[in-house]
Amino acid sequence: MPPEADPNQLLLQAKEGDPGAREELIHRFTPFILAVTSRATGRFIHLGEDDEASIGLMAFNEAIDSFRPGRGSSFLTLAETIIRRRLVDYFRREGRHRRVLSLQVLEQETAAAVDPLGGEEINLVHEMADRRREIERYREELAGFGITLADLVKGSPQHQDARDRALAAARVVAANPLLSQYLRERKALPLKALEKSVAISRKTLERHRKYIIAAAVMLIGDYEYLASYIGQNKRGGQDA
Amino acid sequence: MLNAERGLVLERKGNRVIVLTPAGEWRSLYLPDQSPAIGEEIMLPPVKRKPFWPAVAGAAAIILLLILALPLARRAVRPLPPGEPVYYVTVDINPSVELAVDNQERVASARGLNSDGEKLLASLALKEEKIATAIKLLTREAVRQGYYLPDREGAMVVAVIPASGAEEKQLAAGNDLGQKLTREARDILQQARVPAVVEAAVVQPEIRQHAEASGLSAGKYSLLLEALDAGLPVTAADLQKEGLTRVLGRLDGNWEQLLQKLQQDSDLLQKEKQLGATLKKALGQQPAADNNRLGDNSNKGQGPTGNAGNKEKSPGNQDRPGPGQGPADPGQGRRPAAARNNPAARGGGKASPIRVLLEKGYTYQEIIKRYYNQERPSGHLRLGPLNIAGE
Repeated sequence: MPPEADPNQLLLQAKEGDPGAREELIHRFTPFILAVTSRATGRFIHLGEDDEASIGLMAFNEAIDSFRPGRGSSFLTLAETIIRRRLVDYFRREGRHRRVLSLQVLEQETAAAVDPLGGEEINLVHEMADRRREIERYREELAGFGITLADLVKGSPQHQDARDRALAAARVVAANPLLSQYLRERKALPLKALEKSVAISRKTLERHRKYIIAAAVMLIGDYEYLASYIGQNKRGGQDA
Repeated sequence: MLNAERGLVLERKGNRVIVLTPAGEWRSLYLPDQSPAIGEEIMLPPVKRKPFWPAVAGAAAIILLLILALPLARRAVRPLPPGEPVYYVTVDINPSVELAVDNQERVASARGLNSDGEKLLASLALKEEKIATAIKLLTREAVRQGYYLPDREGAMVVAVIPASGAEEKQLAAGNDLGQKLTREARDILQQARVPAVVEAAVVQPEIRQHAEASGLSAGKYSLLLEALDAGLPVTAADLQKEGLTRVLGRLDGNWEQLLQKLQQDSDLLQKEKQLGATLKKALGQQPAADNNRLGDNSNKGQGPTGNAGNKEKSPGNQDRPGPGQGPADPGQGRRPAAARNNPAARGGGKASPIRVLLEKGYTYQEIIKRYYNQERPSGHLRLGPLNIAGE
């Protein structure tokens, strides 16, 4: 399987019974599976240690077969739905779902906790709605900085290294109350202070200004999902 | 390769979405056939950012260069061994021309069979054109030069002659080609509001040789056979000097039928045999046996001398109604022997991919688009609002 193969293509091939494509697809989306599993269970899931991880992998495999292109739903959304459903089945069987369900999930359920067991799909709907609201809030806040998402597409550091450095700078700003306050009030990066605390030249900082601001805003603000989304790719197959 | 294979949709405008990848990258994507909701995760095609633009630019540049160089290359390639003519197509209006067509239905060479034909060709560059296009251009030019006039009757005979062999298959293919060409010509004439009769005929290679020997185009020669068969007193000399409609019109009002008969007739050689003496008389010369063997000999026989008897009828190519050139050269004009057996060379050999596409009728723009699309990531799967049932 060429490393640059389009996952959408892999999916179609896997559906047509190509075991190599299926293998590759599952391999590549292991971080996704682990992220979804962790979110659903509310704890960090290790591949090879936790049963939930295998449940997630199997559910993902199932999703490949269930997916019907053109039926309106994104494959990953379907996969997430199936992973969650299988996890609930699993919890139910194990009789320990209460223990492992995340607080967040419990909170959501308390509103209409008629059937906490069958509510996983509804949870996902809620969560999607939450995500959408979160994204909307985020875009509005960025607009306050005069930044549009299109700006970020243009101003995104091209290389992963450069992105990681920029993200590190954003973390510095987010972690330091003084710097975050500066950012919030002046709507600008505290370049001078930042220059000292990170090993990035001022020129580079300025070039990636919008990207760093956007990342810092994401980290400072109450953007739980977005903030956790970045960095999910770090969770590779071995998952130390 | 675990990076950036999925992304969270944060913004959607029409088919363009902006996604954030887990690697912290912002990307803008064009999704022609899906509409993921904001907050959904989608699978992303691999980034080819670095190779992508240079590759496209490079490909585009190469394609452009190829396109620009194509006419040059053609010119350069022309002296090389040609694509052998597969068909000869003669077109008789009053000007008579013969086009050699290669196996890709392109004009390998064109020559005028009479002075008007040469004049007509002089204002056209038909070489390398698709034969169908060539016919269109020819017809248009004939209209432009006044060989056809709006609301006046006219005729065109398109004769298709397989270059070698006359098996069923070749004749059938030739017939198809002929039909295609008549359609093209009819279209043009219709646009010009000329109520002309256009008919095609497929004739055997031998007929072409005989026609050449008697100084006629294959089309006119075939028509001569038909006319003689119908008992009309036509001579080769008449047909050499004048256009079809004029000769036929003078003889019999019903010449359209004659043309149609010609089209249906598949074995003119047979007819030739049957006519025997009548034909020889019509050709006004020595035994036909001489003619079909030696093209050079035939030049003697077909000169104006052989036709003295008919001379008084019309001094030139007067079929042409428009104002025009002075008295045209009677006879069918020069036919350098060299040109005949040497259908000018042309770009044979292997066809480039672009060439192949062009043969298939793609336009350059379509070809560029095609190349460009190959470089582009393929579309995503269709995404949509969250499906609660999951199926």
